[in-house]
Amino acid sequence: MAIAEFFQHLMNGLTLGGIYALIALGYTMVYGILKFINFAHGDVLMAGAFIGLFVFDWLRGSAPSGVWTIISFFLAMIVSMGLSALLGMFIERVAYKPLRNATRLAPLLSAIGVSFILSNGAAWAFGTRSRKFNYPFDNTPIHIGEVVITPHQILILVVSLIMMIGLKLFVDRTRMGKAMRATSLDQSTAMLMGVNVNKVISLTFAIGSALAAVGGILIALDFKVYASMGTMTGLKAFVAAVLGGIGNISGAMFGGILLGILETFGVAVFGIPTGLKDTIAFGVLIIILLIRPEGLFGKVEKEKV
Amino acid sequence: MKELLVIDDISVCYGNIRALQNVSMHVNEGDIVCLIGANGSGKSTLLKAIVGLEPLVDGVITFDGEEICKAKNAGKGKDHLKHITTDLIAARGIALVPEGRRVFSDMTVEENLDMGAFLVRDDKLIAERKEAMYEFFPILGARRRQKTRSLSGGEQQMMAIARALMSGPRMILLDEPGLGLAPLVIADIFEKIDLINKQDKVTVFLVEQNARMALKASNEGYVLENGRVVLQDSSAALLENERVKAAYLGE
Repeated sequence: MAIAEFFQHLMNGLTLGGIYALIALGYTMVYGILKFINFAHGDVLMAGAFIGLFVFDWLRGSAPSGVWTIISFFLAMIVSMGLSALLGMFIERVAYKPLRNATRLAPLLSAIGVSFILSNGAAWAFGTRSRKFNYPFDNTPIHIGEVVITPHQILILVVSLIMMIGLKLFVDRTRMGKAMRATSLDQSTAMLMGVNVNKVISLTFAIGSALAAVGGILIALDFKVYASMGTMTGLKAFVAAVLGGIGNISGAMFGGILLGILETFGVAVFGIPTGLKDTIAFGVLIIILLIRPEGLFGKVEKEKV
Repeated sequence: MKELLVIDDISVCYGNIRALQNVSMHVNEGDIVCLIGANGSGKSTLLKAIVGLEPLVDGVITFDGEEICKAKNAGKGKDHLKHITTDLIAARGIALVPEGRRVFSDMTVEENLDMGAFLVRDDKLIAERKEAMYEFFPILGARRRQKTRSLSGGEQQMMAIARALMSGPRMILLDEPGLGLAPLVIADIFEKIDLINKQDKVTVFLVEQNARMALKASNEGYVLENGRVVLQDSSAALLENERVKAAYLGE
């Protein structure tokens, strides 16, 4: 394979992976604290994309392009993050919190129910047709040597990088971020330190949902916005979270990017038919569960006595 | 002397099993009080009940004159105490060093201490207290950037105590601080507990299987057997008590 071709695929893989990583973070953070897979997470991504689409179109009005369009795009992203965060917190409050002391299967089933409510609700409210997300700016590809990069790809890379660095700084440096990590390591001891676990859980859902909204908007740029858009992307991001070691934040970032690269190279280099592209992620899931169920970054805790 | 913690006739159940039966105790401000008893006598359950991690089926616990835990069926209507959660009990000034230390193993020593100071909103005060802890436990200062899981058992125990002190508690509850540690390390830890009590004026409630160490370190003692308090006296008197000698001191 030529060097240029390699970099081309790498670039495509990184952008796809960046989006997976953003969404995988929500799965992994919630799992870290509640030990439960929020299967409605993918549909929050869809809601975020719809909110972004509507707010963006409303803000930019009829102005075709220009600085205001770019500003409205980012404003729409911020509004979508905020509203999706509220949606995530609301879902947790009504569908998961009452089941916190129930069997482990109960919140899982509740999550699947919420997922159907969201996607069917969106289909009912907005119809089943796909909507195009208007471009915030001209997307004419840029040629760097033989490598072709679209401005959207640059946008995706920059935004997902900023989000991941921001999240990492938040959990490592801030008081609430540390409380989140402590809660995921040992909930009752975190309570002994004075941490209000309910607040931490709400915050976790808020952050995860806001990141999913960004992922939804970024993916909608090159694909479309539709009611069931969260299903496949959500499942793949879940695979990415398992790949990195579910519950581990850096693992989710790495797992997402690795999965994006694997998918791109799988099709381009190893000749996996495009129609079977989606099977790559699930093949990876099966392999990882067989070989290293704790994921690449997951640790099997040994207690010292 | 002022009664800081009063445990009034409490019972705790695990299913049909009564882990604690009508237990009453009090801890005076400034004292070191110890609770001794065999494995499974209900010692850890009692500490968990004080910090609200185990619900009471009977009785009341008050701290500094205010109710912190109360059985659910006690009181009626509007007088019914709103359930106080563990984080709010911690905010009243009670710090528990849990059994098995329960350090945040994936966090550094410094981050663990930061978590101990979660309720302290003053960054300058937090920094001062951390420095004080590194001085008090020099080994922690040397390891401040290490992940806690790389620490030895004794170091982890010291870190768990330092973490509890970071909140500036009025009272510290210690659950078997000597468990699984070498005798020299235990002696060191008990020395520190004495200093915490004498210098920092923190009231100490100590739960131990090692009855001799615990009674020597404390002013008052209680003996728990099968979820009931069977003896209560000054620690000096308990050390001479024939029943204690036979059952707990191996004499």
